[in-house]
Amino acid sequence: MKNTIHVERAIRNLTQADLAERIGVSRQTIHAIESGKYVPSTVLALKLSRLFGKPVNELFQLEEQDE
Amino acid sequence: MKTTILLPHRFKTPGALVLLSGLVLGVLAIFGNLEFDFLDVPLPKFLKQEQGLFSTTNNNLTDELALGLCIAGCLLLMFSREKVEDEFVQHQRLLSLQWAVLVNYVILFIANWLVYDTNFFYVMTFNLIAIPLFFLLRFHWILWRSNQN
Repeated sequence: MKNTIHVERAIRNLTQADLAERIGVSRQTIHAIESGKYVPSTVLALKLSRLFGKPVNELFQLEEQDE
Repeated sequence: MKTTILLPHRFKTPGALVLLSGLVLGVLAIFGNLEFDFLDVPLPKFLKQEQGLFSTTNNNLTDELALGLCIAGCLLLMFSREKVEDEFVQHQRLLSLQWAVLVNYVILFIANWLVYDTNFFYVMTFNLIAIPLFFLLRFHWILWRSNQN
């Protein structure tokens, strides 16, 4: 699963630590999500969606290996 | 699913101290035959599988104390929160537990065929706290590595 979190974060000039603080998770979690090592829970995905003002499907996309 | 039953973060240091003292005492008790005299206590005979319901025999509890400290220390360390306990940490906690169980039994399986007699006693003794130890090593290594990024 790929995501555009780091792009959205860059658009708003946020560091990983800033974003983590706003969402209520650790910086390691944001880093793990952006590097594709961790798939966030639905709740976390919805929080990201709310913060960035974009639908979840725009932030996260399925890849072939997810099928 | 955000909360699981975990102790507050401040239990980590006491847990580490308890585990360390248990490990040191255990090694001394097994390999150095260390026995504290004040731990020579009478135990009811039925606990030692001897005849007699209420009469007692003596037993030294140094080795029991060592194992008790090890287990208590392991539990305190395993079940206390990290400073930031979010879903990623909980996910890693679960994965580390799975890894620890697998590694423990693979090693035990190999040791079963390669280690015999009294030496296997040492394997079994270590196996009593092996899963928590493997878990703690794996879990904290993963967290440390993700901190480096």
